[in-house]
Amino acid sequence: MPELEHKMHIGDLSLFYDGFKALEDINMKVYCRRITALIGPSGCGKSSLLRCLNRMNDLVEGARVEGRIELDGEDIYAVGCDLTHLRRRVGMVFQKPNPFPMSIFDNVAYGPRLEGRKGRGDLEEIVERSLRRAALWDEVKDKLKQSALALSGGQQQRLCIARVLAVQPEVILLDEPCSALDPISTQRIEDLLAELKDSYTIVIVTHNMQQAARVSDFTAFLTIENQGEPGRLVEYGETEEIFTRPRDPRTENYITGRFG
Amino acid sequence: MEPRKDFHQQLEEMYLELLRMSNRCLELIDDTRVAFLDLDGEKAERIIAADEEIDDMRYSLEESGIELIARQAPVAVDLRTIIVIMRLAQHLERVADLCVNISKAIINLSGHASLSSWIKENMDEMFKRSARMLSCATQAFRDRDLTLAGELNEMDEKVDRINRAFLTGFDRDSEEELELVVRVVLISRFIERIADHAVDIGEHVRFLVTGSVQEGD
Amino acid sequence: MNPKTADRLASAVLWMLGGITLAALIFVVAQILIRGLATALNPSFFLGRPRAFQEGGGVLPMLVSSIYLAVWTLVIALPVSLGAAIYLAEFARTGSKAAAAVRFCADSLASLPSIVFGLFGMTFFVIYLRWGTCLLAGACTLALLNLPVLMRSAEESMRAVPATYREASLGLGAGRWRTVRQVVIPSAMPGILAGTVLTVGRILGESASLIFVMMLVTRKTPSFNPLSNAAPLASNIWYTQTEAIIPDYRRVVDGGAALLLLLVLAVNLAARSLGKAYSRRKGVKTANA
Repeated sequence: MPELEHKMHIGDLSLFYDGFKALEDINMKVYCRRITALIGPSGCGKSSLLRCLNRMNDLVEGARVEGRIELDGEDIYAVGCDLTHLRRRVGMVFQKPNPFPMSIFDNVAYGPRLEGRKGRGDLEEIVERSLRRAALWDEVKDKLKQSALALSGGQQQRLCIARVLAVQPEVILLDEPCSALDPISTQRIEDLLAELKDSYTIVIVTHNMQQAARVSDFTAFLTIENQGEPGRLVEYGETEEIFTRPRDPRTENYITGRFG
Repeated sequence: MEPRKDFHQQLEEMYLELLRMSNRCLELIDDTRVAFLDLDGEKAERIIAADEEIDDMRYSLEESGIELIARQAPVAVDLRTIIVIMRLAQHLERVADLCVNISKAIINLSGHASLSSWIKENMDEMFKRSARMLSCATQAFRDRDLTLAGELNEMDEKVDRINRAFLTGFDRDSEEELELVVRVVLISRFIERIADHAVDIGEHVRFLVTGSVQEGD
Repeated sequence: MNPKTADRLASAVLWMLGGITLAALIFVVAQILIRGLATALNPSFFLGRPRAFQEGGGVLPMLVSSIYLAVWTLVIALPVSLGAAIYLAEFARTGSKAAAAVRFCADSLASLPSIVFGLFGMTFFVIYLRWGTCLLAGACTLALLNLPVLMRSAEESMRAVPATYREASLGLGAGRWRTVRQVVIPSAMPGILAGTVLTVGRILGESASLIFVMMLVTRKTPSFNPLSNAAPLASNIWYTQTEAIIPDYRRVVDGGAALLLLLVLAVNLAARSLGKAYSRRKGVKTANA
């Protein structure tokens, strides 16, 4: 593996839901300012793993984590870790676009307002900057007061990205962000991710292998051997290697579609 | 239903077509060998005509390969397989072209009386060796056999040696006519290039199996 | 029979049933309005004072009582029920025994006849706490009566808010309470409003339990003191019909009924337009905005 700086380090991570082991012994590094894709068949735990990265799994009753996840060297599961602060540093975009039932402006300003920013000028500047960064400004600049629910699916998803960008995260997690979108919107979001990679560390879960191949720098393949077993990390490497000469036959079977 | 059935079926068909093409080339080499030993002009004509069939097989494989890449987005071993099949098709087509060149030279020679036994023996040897090399290369491809592919280099050495012998072995004042000598040397060169193609095929087998473009990766 | 015939038959039956229901409703409303609309709209009626034994009395104090009672009841009931609903919908763990107990109690209370509440109210507020008969006691009693309905409808509305909104808010670093306040409640508002309107209707319609146990049935003057006696309009209608000695009691009764109907209609309409305006402002997607 390359000599890159790593932003997050997942060490011996196991995840339990009410005693059921969903993930076992996951070990991997998430590299700075790169896009890392998590791929694998349904139920392999890739979304669960993603949600561990910003402790969204804490919201699930009975969820328990063993092992550590370090963000810039500090364990986010340590006692006393400030969840609010963590979730601003590690932002999340969900599968189905979920803008709040508010205006476009209020949606993007939601995060900054949480942080205590109140000044009109301040907020306006943040909102514009975030919408520009999310490649949505030109389309909505004249209708910031309109309801966010009036936007198209692809626009809504970019709005959700802008909403996350507004709190200036360091890591952006995306859980199958394009699965509810049409191909053109998908393409735009993929282009956007390629731009954002310059400033943010990105982790994306996708069941679309071509997307993982197109968009990511590193790919992690997870799978479960049999029903009822926990998800394990089978192979993790540079995307180019994974898709031209994977080392593990299970990886090859999955990506060539021979996974029966 | 097996996942991606259509795709794998098409891949399988390409694969079988390539093996058929290889067999055809081997037959062609053998026919050329016999045509040369007998200085049979008619047989040589038939060989030249048969080249078209091989050309068609190559185009068909190229088209199938491109279609599969465009439509199915193959990755990993599937991608390498398609690429290697397309390259092998190219090499086999060149091998057939070389047989055509040899046949043309045979036609020009057919006016002559006959060949000396020294020439016959050595040329026969060269034909057989390069045919065996091509057969081994194809088998290495079929069985993904790196070891076998590795042996091709050594086999090529031997063919080169015989080729060099032809260059240096002619007596200045032997009974053979000059024109005969030149054409025989030319044919020898063509056969040596067939052997080289077999070595190249072995290279591609290594890429197929290991995935590395360069040696020693 | 073939599907097409079955379809037609079903449509016909359903239309018929709908028609009957509509007809019944129209019949009742028409009856009330025909008999009392003229009186109800007469300013001397709804602004006038009642008479003890003469003709031409009005119902102003009663009208004031009813409205005032509704206001007080809501003031008491809404915060409590909303709070409980928030607890049940957002903060209780699934399978929590406490939450299950609360819900069970609420559901049980919801099916108690209002007269039982009336008796309780009398025993507790009027006698035990020594408030005496007053509007406040009535408001408290009605608050108890309507607590289950308000709480359940608020809870259901909040549950209906998609989990994705909460996730998005929490994902941005908001706390639970922040999320509830700024995302869940605004989204659930239409449902909460609907429950409230329903409750107002019930309050305005309460008659037996109130008179029977705690309040006057007629007043001379309107009062805004919650500790004084009150006479809600519904109760007054009963009284006028059965006990009053004024010669034009029929007129007063019919007028009162029509007035109540108009009041309930007005509240309904007001709530609807309020809901619509709220939705438009917030851009909320509601099922029946």
